[in-house]
Amino acid sequence: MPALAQQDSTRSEIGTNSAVINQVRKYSGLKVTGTVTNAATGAPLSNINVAIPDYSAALTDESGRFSLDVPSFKVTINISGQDYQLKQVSLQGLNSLTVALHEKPFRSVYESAMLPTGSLSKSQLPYAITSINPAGSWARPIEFTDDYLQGKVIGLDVIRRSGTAGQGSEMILRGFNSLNADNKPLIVVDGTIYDNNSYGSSLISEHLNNPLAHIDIKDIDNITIVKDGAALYGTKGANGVVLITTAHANELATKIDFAAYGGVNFAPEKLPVMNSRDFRLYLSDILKTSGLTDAQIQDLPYMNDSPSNPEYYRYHSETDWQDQVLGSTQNQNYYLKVTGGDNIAKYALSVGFLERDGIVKETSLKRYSTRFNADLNLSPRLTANTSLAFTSSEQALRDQGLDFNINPILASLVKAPFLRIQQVTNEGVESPNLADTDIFNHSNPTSLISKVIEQDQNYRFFGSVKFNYAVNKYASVSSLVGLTFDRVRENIFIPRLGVTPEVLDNSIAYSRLGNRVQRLFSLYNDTYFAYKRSWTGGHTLASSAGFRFQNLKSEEDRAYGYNSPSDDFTSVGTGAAALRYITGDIGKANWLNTYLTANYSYLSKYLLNFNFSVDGSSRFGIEATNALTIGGNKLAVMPAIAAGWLISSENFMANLRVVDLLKLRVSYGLSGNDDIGNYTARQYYVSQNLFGAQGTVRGNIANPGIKWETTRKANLGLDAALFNERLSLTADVYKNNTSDMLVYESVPVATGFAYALSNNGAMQNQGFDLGLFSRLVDKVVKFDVGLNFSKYQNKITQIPGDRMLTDFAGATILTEVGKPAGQFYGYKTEGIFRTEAEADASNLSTRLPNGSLASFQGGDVRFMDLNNDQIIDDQDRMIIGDPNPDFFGSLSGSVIWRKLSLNALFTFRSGNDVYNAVRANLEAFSTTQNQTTAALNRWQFDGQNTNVPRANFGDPLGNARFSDRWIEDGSYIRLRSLSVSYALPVKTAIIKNASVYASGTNLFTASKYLGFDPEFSAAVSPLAQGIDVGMEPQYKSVHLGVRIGL
Amino acid sequence: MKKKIFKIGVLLLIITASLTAMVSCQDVFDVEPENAIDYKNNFRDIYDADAAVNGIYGQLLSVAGQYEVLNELRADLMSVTANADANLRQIENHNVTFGNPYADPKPFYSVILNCNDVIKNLTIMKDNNKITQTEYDQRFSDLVALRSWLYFQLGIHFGEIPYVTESIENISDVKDAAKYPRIKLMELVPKLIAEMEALPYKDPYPESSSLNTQIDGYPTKLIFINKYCLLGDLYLFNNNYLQAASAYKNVLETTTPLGQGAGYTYYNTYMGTSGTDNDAVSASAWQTFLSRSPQDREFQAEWIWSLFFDKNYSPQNPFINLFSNNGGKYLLKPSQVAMDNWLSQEQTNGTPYDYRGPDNSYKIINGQPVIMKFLYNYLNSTTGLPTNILEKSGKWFLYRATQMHLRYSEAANREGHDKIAYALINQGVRATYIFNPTTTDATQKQGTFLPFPYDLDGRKIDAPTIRGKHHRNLGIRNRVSVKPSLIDSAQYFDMSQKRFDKPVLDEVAYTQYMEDKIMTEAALELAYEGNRWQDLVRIALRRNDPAYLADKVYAKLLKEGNPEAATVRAKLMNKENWFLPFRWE
Repeated sequence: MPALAQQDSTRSEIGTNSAVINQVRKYSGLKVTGTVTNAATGAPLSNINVAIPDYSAALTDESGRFSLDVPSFKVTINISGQDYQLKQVSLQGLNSLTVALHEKPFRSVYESAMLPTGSLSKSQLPYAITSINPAGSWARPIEFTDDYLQGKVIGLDVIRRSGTAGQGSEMILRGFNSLNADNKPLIVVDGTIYDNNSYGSSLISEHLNNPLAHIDIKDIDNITIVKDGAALYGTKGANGVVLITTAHANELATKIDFAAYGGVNFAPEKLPVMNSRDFRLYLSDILKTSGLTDAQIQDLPYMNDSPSNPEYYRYHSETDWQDQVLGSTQNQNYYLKVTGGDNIAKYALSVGFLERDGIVKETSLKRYSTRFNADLNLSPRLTANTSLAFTSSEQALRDQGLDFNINPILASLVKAPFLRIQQVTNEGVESPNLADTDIFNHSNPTSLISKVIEQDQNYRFFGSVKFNYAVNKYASVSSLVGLTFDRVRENIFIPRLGVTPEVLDNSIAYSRLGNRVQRLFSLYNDTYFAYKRSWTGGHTLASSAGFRFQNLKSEEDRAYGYNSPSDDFTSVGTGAAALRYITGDIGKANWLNTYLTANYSYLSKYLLNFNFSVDGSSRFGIEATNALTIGGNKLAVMPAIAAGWLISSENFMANLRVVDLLKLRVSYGLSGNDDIGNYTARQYYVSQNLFGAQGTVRGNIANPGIKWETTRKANLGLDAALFNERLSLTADVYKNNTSDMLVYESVPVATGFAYALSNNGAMQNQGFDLGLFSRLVDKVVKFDVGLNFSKYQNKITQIPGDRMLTDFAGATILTEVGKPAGQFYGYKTEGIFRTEAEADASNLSTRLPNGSLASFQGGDVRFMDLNNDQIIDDQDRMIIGDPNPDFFGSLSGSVIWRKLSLNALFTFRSGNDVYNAVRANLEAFSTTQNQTTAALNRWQFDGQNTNVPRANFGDPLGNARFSDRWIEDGSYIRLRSLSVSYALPVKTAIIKNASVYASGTNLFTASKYLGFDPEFSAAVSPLAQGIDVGMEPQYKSVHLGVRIGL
Repeated sequence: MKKKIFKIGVLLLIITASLTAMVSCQDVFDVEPENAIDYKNNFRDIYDADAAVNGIYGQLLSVAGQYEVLNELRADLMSVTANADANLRQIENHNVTFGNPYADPKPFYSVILNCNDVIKNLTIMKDNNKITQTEYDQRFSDLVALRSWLYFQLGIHFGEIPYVTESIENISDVKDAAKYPRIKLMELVPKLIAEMEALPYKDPYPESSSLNTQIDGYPTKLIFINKYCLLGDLYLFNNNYLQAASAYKNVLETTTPLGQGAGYTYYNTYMGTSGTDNDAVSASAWQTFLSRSPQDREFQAEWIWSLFFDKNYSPQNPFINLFSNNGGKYLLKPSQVAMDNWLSQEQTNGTPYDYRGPDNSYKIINGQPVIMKFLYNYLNSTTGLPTNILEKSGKWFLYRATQMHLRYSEAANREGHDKIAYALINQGVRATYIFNPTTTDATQKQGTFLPFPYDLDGRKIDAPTIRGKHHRNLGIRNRVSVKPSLIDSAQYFDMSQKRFDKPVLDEVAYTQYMEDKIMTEAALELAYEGNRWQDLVRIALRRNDPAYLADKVYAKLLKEGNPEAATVRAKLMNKENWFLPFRWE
């Protein structure tokens, strides 16, 4: 789907510096003439604005002709119209022009990007920048901002964390830059840094509060992603910057937009687990290996098939537990926006309500959002912009993650199918009460759905006021004050009925209760002096110098309770007093960034951009090396320079009419990451109890030399547009080197600590981004296609000890110098031993926990003995997978025919390996949990021709250990969104316009992955990539909606 | 135009000035943590100092399990069960490989780091008059002693260790190799002795000290290390017998300054009594020393240093997992040698086993021998079942009265006072010294009548009324009604002589013979209290006889049918192999 460009010259300044003072020029007497036509039809266009900014302007007449004063024949002319694209045409020494404009929407290379210094056409920027205008995103109304960006930005790998509404996505721009610090790009909304962190961890496993879910996509005007010019934000910019501009009023007339949507989510396809009959056979197999005799097994209540058995009805059902947990659900969304105003004040007010139910039953997200943006002309010189938003959300959630007792999805997979949902008498009469935990001590999945309470209620106030004072026609001073106040309140109740109790240190938790409050307060100020000027000779300069200050205070308090008197008592206070405990955290940080930025261009074809920032932070140690020192504080100095050359604007290109734009860009700069912990530099003490008394002990080895991570980014890019922009291309090669990377460095044991944080790591990313766009058909029917393709290679270049192993969710991750981050490091398998003789002949054995050796037998997995010592142990591990994608990107297409338009977006990711930790449990064949139907082929007799190992209670030989058996190809291509919109031919006094929309998400996914869905993320860390820990899967949904303009 | 330039200038000036002000204002970037205590805000008053001491003792609890495994499983009284993992088996078989968590000195060094840190800051506090000299002396001495104890433990188990006495504060300290001088056990001990001797305050915290209090029903006076006990151990290890005996004697004299008016406390504390208010033998009291409340005077008269695990607080009691077959993992059990030791003794009434063994130090539960010493607050002593399987309260036993008696005996024996050793092991001072052929004066009997530290007064005479400090000392064996461990007089004495004090035939052999008796008694009395490995190493080094240690371990493994027994013995014949391997860098 092409971005819907909207670039009115009047709006482009809004939100930045709208204080503009008119000026009078002396003209040179030179004139250029020409015609403007419609690119599709060739018809002449009237009322098209033809201008040289700050110099002269003209409108085309009925026949599309214009005549414009120009200072010379080397300049570049802007051409735009209300329903047409913006185009910048260099005169190339000529005195006449013929220009064909595309009707909006059209993805043009001249689209504007919103930068901190103001709006600028992409063609005038020497950086790798993607600019997106969601333009209301009316066709994809219920997307969250981060999810929405999937496939939209070249180089941005967006991985949705789970199917849970609002859970958001990992956004990784051009690969990972850090092992232990944040890898998220910096988000700036309307000039204020938008804190996108989730502080502390949720009481609800694998849940994450995603602040970006507070922003209604329909409130967003523009999203600009800066990939290499990030020195701008100093030590917060290493992962790139996402600049979000929310909607302001464009015109004075009152405009009302109302939209309503409804939709359906479809439950995902079930995983194939065994039915009652197969499971019973499996059970008898597994129980035999646990040491039970045949007679003992026959005596088990679920093995007795005689209806006279009093337990018969309890154990002879056929329940599809996945149906109990997963289901199709609904969504709705209402949105109202009013814009308008007068010469003094313009405003945009929006309110919205969104309800998205999850495919796990009883889960949902309800969001209430309001936004009020205003632009005020306080005096001829003084203007103000406000951007105020308040959003409140309520989420009903369930646990996710690798816990088969409380994650309802996983519980439904392993629950014995012959059990019943409700209690049943010996006579077979079913009670309305839910069945308790079963004979295998497994939870009742239905209880996890209907009796568990897990809520996240949160709100965020995010607002800013900005004053601009025009000193003269070139210079202005602005100051923005932003405030974030955020509060997350969670409460959980896990009942005793039907849920497997948790064993605590000193008691058994039959019911679990919890309460958590997370607060965030952030004060932000950005004050700067800006100077913008165009000289008649062709020089332009836009520069600003100022400082940004951020004060951040976060607090988290959590209370746990256990064993309330009955399942009717659900608040923490009712838990047993002795088991109650409270914990929390407080973090504070100050950051000050002083910056200078200068954009210079000559004749709009030679571009030079310089960014420079000096950062101080309370996180930096006072002994940091290679730092600027002022007043005893260590400051990070981050310069960046970029240059661009519009080859197409040169006179010698005048004869090459097919080339609209040919631009070469090169940039090099430093940016940093200050996510090094608030107090790493300081020596501090933590609490240590002596029975119930609190004492203190040392909390860390201080590192007063701790400093920011530095990422050096080099980028070489080429932008091209041919055949009147019918074909455009953007290509970038880049190399990012992170040095001073934060690592946990082992320290001698005699220090009493295992690790100290230091800056002794380094990492490198190099990659290639390619974007292609073409308007294949440009007639009455317009047909556009686009391709985004990205590829990067990550490499660890320095860590202490050169090699490190970490564990996550049963996986072992290798981090080694010279290799990409996040390598799966485990055992390699070669099928199974089909016969006892084969096993004997191999002479392989494995070490049991007590140190003795056990020989592999028939039906066991044949692991590769890499060191040929006949023993399968830690020494036989190797790299068995790489979660980094070979490439990723998207394919988009759109068809517009009169009032009907159709947009499709395919996203793809290829070559990334996935560790299916869920399947590692579902095919371990070592417990009484139900397993996938792969168990039907399990090895059961000598010589059986199968690749599936035998069932063996407790898995003493480690058949289910972390091996390539669980590594799968996570490649996929997905029809991420498909939307059709039709503008109804209504135009009455009241209703100005009306459109209907139909859209679908995730309609089609092609993947070999055996789990529910190959897209998920358990954590943003590069060491937790590609590990499927049982998150709620992605699902299909379909929406219908209507939008009415009043 | 000029006006405008002026305006711009003013604005720029304001911006620059405010920026400079912000950057140069230290406070902007000096943000103190609120989730922890910044260095600047710690050590402000006596309460901070006490919190630091409490923190260290709280942290010390986390080495309990490792301490137990290293000191007992490496020696001869404890074995692994079938449930034990490879790491425990390595400890038992003396073939420890790198990465064995039981052979990781880090938990010890974590406590040492805090000792060093607090010692440094106490000194600063004293210099700034934030605490008094007395308060300083007491805390400083306590922490130096605790640190020395930890180093002594590390030395015994690792042989050559980094000896760090300065606080490691930041990463440049970490990288300073000079801060980690390596030192061998035989040089470490004299160093520790010198430090301990120099302590300004060697007594326990006085009753009036703010540290001497009750926490959750635990009297804190029991949790602090006793400096004289440690000093005695160090002297004994260094073969300074007189000093060792003196140090131990000082422990026994702890309550002497209170005078006879203190009654029970005066006569019973560390005297090796049955815990009763008289000198009657009460064999059944022995188990209650392990099980009873630390608030009881009987407990406090027996235990000098003991820490506690409370069901409500972390860390969790490690002994349940190690020993219990109900609610625990049952990883360790009494060795056959240990059980046979007890079974080969005889009680005074003819019952053919030592009372301290079956049903006391260990118990057969569900057919499995379970080390019970640490489990009396967890398992019911009769049924062997936990009262509440998840409530894992318990004690960590460190220094005890009879342990001091045995070590004092060892020193005395080496000083030629073998009779003191005999008395303390068997029937106590009074009974042993009741006969004095050189006098008929009753007041000149029932005591040693030797100068300090060998002056043990066990007199209980009614006319005139004399109650010697040691009159309730029952003797270790007598206290539990076990027959005395008699001396093979014919072998060691010249029986041809008619005189009362028959000459010893071979002084060296006899001293060793008595020493062996002391060790045998230690195995019966103190099994599993974390002394055995130290005892074996000390004696073997003293005698320069690796076989002493190697044979004891060999005997244990042999009796359990461990196929490694001979290999282990051969290995232990080399002293270097007594120490655990560890990569220090």
